[in-house]
Amino acid sequence: MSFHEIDDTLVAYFKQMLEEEVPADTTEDVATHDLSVSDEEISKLEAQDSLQAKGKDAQNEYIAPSYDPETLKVNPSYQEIKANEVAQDDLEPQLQVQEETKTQTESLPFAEHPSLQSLLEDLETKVKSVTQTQVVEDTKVAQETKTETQTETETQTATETQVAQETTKVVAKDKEVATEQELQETPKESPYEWKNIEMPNDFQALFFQVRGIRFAVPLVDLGGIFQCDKITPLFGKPKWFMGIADIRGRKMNVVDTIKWVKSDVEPADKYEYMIALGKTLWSIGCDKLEGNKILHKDNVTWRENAGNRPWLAGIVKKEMCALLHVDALIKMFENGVNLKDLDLQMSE
Amino acid sequence: MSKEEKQSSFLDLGANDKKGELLRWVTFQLGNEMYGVNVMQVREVLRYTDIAPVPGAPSYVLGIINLRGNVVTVIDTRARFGIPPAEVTDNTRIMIIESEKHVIGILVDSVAEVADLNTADIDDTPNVGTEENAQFISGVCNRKDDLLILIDLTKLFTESEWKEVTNLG
Repeated sequence: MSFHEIDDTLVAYFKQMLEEEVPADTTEDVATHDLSVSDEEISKLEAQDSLQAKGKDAQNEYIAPSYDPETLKVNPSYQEIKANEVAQDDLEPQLQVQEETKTQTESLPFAEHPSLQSLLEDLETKVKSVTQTQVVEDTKVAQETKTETQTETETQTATETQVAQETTKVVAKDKEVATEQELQETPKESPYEWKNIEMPNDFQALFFQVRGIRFAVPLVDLGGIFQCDKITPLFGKPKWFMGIADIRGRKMNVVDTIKWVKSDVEPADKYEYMIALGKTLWSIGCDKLEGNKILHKDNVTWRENAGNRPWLAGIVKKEMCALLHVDALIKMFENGVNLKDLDLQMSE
Repeated sequence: MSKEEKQSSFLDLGANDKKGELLRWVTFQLGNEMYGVNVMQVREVLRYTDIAPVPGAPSYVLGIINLRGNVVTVIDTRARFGIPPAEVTDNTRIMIIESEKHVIGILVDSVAEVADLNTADIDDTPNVGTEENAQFISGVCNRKDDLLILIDLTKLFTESEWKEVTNLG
């Protein structure tokens, strides 16, 4: 169904609606009605009408006419009009081409009409698969369509031109939508895209303490443990970023773990050990190493969703300590996000 | 070596920057840390002299000095870097630097040496800084037992700040 047919359909529909608002047989009733009424009766009726009107105005109420869904049905006379139009289209293809061009320029309001969304979507899906590969740029598509129109019949040309332009609009719209989605999704990428760690049935974890808080990190995610006297602070970094430590030529980024966990506490002067995370340059400070233990998968209450604690893979039940999700933790560090920042982001 | 030859050798060093060869850095101290600026950006180093404050100047501007007839704005480097202030000592120096045709002075605790650093030894710093001054740091490099923080003076101010600072005189 082309857009000019849709246009005609709507015009016919509105005409039908206008005709129904003032039915012809009402006028006939009035015409055939007995008009021999006395002046007194007329004055009584007028008085009643005026009283009713005043009462309605006083209550300031409006009673909407009852909605009859049947009035939306297409009048059978429309089928006849439609058949005539189709016949005219067959006879006058050139005229149709001109009308197509005119309709294309005015097609946007119809495309936005809610009742035509399904039709438009059908059209878009049919056309998209055929012409999407041809559409590289809007201008190129228009030129290609013009070339094609010279070799084919005029009626086909009109259809293809419309289809190509619609496809161009659809592709452009899709690109815009995709770009908007990308922009919206970009800030959510790091902290929120989350999948819990997959561990074998038995695995080892290192237990350590930071200001009395116990943590555990799977050994497979442990990059190393080192001690360092000199940590070089860098200005302009978050307060939980202690600085850079030179460990055997590697510039390790040291995180003040307690400051990262609790923003309101005083930063630590020094940590006894630094625990390197994975193969990255990130390390977290710790006060006491408790040693490693073998854990069974069932010993841990694994988290299913990141929530506002993506850094937490689960809780070791017997030990009642947090098992760190190292990858998520590193992502948070790289984004300059600590627990408080994450809570703020989540609340927003 | 003549003056022109020296200048060309410095320019060569600057040109070799991208090839991972030696670069010379003037190192200075602020607090407990050592910082470095490219030697090509340093005009001269002065002992501390009286700095005339300028009313209405930005908070990171200490004032102006008269340098052989030219007025030079002196920057409070500690304030600009977000480091707590400190007393002026005998070691305090004013480094006159030139960056993108702007000449300013930066107040530092002391000037240490001119160090040759291989650009291959310079490491990036983590890009976690949310504050504006995080961008001043161009990298870090081992120097003896310390880490040297290398400063990109061109990023010390925005274009509008450069204009404001240099127009104070």
